[in-house]
Amino acid sequence: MNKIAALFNKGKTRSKSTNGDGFRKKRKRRNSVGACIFIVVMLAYPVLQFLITWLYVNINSVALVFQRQNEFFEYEWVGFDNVIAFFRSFKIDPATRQVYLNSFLYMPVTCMISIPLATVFSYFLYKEMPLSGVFRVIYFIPNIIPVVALTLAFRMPFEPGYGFLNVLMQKMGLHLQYFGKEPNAQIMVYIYCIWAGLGYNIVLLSGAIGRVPEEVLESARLDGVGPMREFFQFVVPLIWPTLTTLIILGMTNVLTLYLQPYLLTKGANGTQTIGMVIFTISQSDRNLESAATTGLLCSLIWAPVILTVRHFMSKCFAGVDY
Amino acid sequence: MKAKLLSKLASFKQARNARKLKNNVPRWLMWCIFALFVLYAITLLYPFLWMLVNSFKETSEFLTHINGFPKNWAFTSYTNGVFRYGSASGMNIVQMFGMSAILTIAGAFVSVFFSCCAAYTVSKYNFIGKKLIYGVAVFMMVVPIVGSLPGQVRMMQDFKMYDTVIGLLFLYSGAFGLNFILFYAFFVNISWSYAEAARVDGANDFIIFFRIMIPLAKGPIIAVFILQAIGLWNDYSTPAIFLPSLTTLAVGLDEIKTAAMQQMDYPAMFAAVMITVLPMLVLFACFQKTIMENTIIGGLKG
Repeated sequence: MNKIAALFNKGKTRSKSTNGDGFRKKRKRRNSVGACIFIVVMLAYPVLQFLITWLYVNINSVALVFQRQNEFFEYEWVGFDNVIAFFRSFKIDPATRQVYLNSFLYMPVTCMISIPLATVFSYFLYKEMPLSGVFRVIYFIPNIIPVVALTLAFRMPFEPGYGFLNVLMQKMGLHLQYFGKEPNAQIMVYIYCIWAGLGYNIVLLSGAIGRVPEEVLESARLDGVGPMREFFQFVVPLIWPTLTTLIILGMTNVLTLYLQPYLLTKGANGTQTIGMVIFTISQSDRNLESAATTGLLCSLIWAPVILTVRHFMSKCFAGVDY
Repeated sequence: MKAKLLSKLASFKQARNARKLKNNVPRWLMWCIFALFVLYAITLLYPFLWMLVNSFKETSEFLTHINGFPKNWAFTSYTNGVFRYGSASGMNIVQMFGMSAILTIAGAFVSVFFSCCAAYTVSKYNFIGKKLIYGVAVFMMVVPIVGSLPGQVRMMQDFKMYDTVIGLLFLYSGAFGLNFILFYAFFVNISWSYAEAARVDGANDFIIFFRIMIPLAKGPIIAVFILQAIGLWNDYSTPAIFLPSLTTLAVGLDEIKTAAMQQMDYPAMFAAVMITVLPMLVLFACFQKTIMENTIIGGLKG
């Protein structure tokens, strides 16, 4: 048991030597045997669960990229066949290209429309608008209602027969097909994402603005800074870390988002995304290797982009922390 | 007395001036934005209120008289209507409700419990791999690995956990997610002197954690628990893939919706939506203050 204690304390003594006056020294505490047992017991299940659901699964997925099911439903090694098939389908199949374009466009929709709009909204919520407390609670709604119900509510006004927006448009002589036609359906899905995402982003961003010390903005105002400058030169830089996180999350949407279009249109009329293709294949239990290949290659291409953006965005206004 | 009043008046004036200064946006612009806010709030509220009202109509009445309040309030869509439709796995709405309730409570419990344990240990003890664990938790949040879904299905089949409640809870019990980061940030700022005082009284590490640290973290734990419960209640993809034979309400609602729409039985569909949505609305309303205080202020940073 003392061996374990020694093992645990090794890291401590080493870090002490490199970092002489860190918080570790202040505590002046060596891990006793009891503490070691505590650490092991507390972390055993979480680490095991992580190793299985993340490491084991990802090693499995990488292996799946180089395997294929034969006619007896057994997996065989096939080398780079799946990778070649992935690039070939991209080259010859316009429907596949459509899937990637749809997915990619979620980035500008989130980062250039939804998040800026939410930032402006949050700024005005902060400005002691009447009923701002009520709005804050109402805007939380998209976060507590299941996507199934939310998509249903969004489609309702456009339904042929009883949707009031549909009826209104028909009275004006516009017979539009909202979800039944090729470009319209995808545009409606983007509109849905802005509509539902706005609530989520407003909650987080108005929280961030609320954490900015009032004195900072007040002194700026006393110097005669107008609302425009206050917003762009003070509020935006001060909530930059939260904005960075939201933009990163918006970028990961490109790969992960599928539920919204899936529930709105079931992927019909050109609304498929990368995530939806993978989800449908995983449900069917056949052709798993193509889903694994698509997912892994997309992650390999997209993850460096995300990390680069994160790196540059965090450098932009370094040292701000609200 | 007079001096006191005067100073009070002065501070009042100062506060008013500060507020005036804060509202430096032109009046007309403020009202335009206010109108936009109201409009957006209406688009969020109206569909659900409309569904609530229409769920009290009989099917025949809804088809002829779509707008306005029901002529006679009928509860038939709640007592009969919703039971006409079930999931593909043969469950009715009450069974789905029960399934969702079990998974929500148990899932939120295991997930919050384990992330709390992990976050506390990593934030308060020194050991080899401490930084690695924290780094991995942050990395997992930032970089999505989407291809892992098929691998996950295969793993669940390998471990004989596919299509079982235990298997789903196992997936939900992941400790290193957003909750880990939130709890970590909380525990790092808690003073260790509480623990030292308890240790002098002879408490061991487990007693310190369960008797002192968890009660101290009550606020964040409740807030994260409620948010996690809401998230699990609304979760669609995990039960849809990993628990096909026991349908939860969020998954079943989609099936009920499709079936009821084919029969033009809209009030029953609206009733099903209301049954799904209301528990979480009530939960949120009850804990609104705790949630807002403990999560918004804690914030989300990457």
